[in-house]
Amino acid sequence: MLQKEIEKVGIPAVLVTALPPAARVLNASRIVEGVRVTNPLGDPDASSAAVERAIRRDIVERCMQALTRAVEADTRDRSQ
Amino acid sequence: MKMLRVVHYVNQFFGGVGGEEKAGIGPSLVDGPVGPGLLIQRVLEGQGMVVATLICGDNYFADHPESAGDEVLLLLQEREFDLFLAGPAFNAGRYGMACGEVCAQVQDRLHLPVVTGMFAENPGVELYRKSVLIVETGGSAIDMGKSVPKMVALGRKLCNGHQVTRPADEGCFPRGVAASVLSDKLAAERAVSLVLRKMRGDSYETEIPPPDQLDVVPPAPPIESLGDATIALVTEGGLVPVDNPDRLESSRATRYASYEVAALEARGSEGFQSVHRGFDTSYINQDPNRLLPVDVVREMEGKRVFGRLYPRYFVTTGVATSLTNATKIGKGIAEELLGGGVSGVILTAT
Amino acid sequence: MRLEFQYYEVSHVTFGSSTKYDRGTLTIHKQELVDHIAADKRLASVDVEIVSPGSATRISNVLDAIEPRMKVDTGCYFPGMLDDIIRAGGGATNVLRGAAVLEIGSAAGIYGGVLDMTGPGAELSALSKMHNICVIVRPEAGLTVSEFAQALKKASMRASVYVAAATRGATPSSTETFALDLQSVGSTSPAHVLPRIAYLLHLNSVGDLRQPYIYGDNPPRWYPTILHPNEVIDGAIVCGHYNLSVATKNLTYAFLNNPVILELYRRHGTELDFRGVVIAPEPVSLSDMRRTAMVAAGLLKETLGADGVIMTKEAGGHTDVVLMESCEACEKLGVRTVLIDNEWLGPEGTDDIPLIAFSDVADAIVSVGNMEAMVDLPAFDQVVGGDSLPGFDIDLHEAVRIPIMSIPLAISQLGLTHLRTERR
Repeated sequence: MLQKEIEKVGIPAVLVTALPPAARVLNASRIVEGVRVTNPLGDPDASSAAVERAIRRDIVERCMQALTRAVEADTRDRSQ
Repeated sequence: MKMLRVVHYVNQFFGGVGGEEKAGIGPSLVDGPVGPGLLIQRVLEGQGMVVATLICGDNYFADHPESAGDEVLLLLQEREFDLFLAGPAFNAGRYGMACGEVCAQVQDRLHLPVVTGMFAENPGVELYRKSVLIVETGGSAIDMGKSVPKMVALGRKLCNGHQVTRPADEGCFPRGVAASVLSDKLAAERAVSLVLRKMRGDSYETEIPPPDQLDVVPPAPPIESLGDATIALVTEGGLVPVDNPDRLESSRATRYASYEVAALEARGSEGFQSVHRGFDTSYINQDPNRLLPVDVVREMEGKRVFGRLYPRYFVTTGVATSLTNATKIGKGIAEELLGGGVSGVILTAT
Repeated sequence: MRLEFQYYEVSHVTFGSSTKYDRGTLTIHKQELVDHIAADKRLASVDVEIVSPGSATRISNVLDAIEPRMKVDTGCYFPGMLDDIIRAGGGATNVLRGAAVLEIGSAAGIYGGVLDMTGPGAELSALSKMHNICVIVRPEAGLTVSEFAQALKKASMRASVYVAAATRGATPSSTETFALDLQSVGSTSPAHVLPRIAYLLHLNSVGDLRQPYIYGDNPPRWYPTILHPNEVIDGAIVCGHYNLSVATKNLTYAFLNNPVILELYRRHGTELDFRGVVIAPEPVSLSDMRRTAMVAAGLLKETLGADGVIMTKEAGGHTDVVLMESCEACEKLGVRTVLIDNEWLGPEGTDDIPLIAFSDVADAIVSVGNMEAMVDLPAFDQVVGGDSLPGFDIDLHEAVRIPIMSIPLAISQLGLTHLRTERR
């Protein structure tokens, strides 16, 4: 899968997915849980655009953490 | 009927060259049958002959993965033949791997029928059964008398244009091909029978086995200095310019595309839409940041949280289940990222 | 609850001067039917064509198939959609068996299927054996896809009830009764010693154009609940999907003839104790999936008293995760599971991963086939429903090569198919 090919060349890649179980079938390593399949990095039900952006910022920050952290295979960061 | 011309591959031992001390010898081609090849010729009963035998040390393929195939093909170019048989390797692991590899190369590059033979536990089976027909043999050369005729019989069928749809019928290991068939019972009927068996404690079988254990790739080392890092965005969500200029497929794409992040920022949902048909894309189409978090990432770039955002993003659609496509596409993207000096990637799946 | 189906077998369908049913022959007054449907101002044009089994015809842009039925007491069907919101699953229902109304329309963003009545395509779908009453409609200009989808659905439902009304007063060929009194756990009924099996029916619930209707509604987020099996097979659930292939949705015909329910009924009292049905949504976030899986498992185990469950799903890849979460939640409570699912194995059947998600406890899965397997279909002189499919550059009169997922009822996520895969 894509993440593994990128990691193979030595570039850390964090996978944002609403469905970590699906990613684990493929032995993905760095995983950050997204909001929903239809909107992994946002939430149309959020009370305002600002709130939605805050949700997005939170997920991206976790991504940065995952990229700067050494991992054993299959590290997962829940969004809650 | 035309004489069937066979080239036969054996290792150093069956080739009569020597034992373990000769395991490193490279390939050589000799005229006529050698060792088990004599049995092959006998079984052909005057309707064919082993025109040449390729002898190679068991370790050679393992030790020279890049060049061994080329060397073998170079030797084979000198001969005209119809069928390639290798081994049988029985339970000899290195021999099995070599047989599998040389058969795969001959099949792919010379487009000729190939058959080999191995014991179920030979590691060559798992590696090569999907690409090459492997006749199931016993665990040792005691089985030679049974295995060779099976291999020859299958080889002859292949040379007559026979298409193998059921490897088991030919005495071969399954090739992992899922054929579409019509059962005599409705799926729902089978499901009720299956749950009853399961609940009774009877033995039962699933119709969809889990996938083979996939490679675990050791994770790449983390970014050392985020402040200097170049971060790139990649997605399987199919977000492309509205006219889909590169004709990205709407699901299970066979390729990828890349577009300027600046263009996405400038034109947003008016200029970019998702072509992915596997899920409801309306929320992403309303606001593409929900797929590629450009607004937030740009903000972080501005605050120097990281060095710079790679000016292009990469996109494909839904390659979760097709490893072949995912690998090809992934390699392509990885190469570009490497060339672009990218330090880390945020990859959005859907 | 006790339901009686009165079957009116159809051996012949023809247009005529009045709509009636007489000993196997269904006659339809074409203009009356067309006018009845065309009363909906959202439709620019309406046409009806009859395609019989064995006819060398290809039917294209098929979006749904509906078995013509009506409730004897109301003369209507599909509560909450056409009929008032009344409970399905009781009383008597007239069924025109052997006939189907096919809902046909085309627009960008809608994925219709291709049904061949003869040849290799026909062998894959039970619909090729039906007398198909094709309702072909075109939208008024300016209609959104969503509005068109609703108009399409209305048109085909109205057509099916109109045609079913021909059975009023006629003598049925046969009848069948479905009666299940779901006694709570602890009953001393003799059936109690048989294995207790329930059915978990997952229904998609996301997005405008991809949701089935449950009594005419389908909110985007809902908790699992219990329906009587009779409700499911008597019109409480209608297919509302439009931007999914015909294989990744369950056709109304398949809900009405839900094979899991019918098979559990068939063996009830002899081989098993049918405990009932739980319906559950297919959420799009992992936490929602876990919540609804857990609640569903609890209903199955504690309220229905099931020790075993068969579960089905609909829609696309991520719903494999839903299925696996439900599977795990059930097995955790000691409820043994069997799943029915479609596979994604590529055009040659050689792809490595059949499902998007898996679980160690999902060890009993029944396959309904490889979605992506390609079928070579011959040329047809006669094509009903449109010469091409939107978005595809093909002429349906010619020989075509299409994935099995484009043939209605070839792949059926409810298990109403004989198609499966065999690993070789």
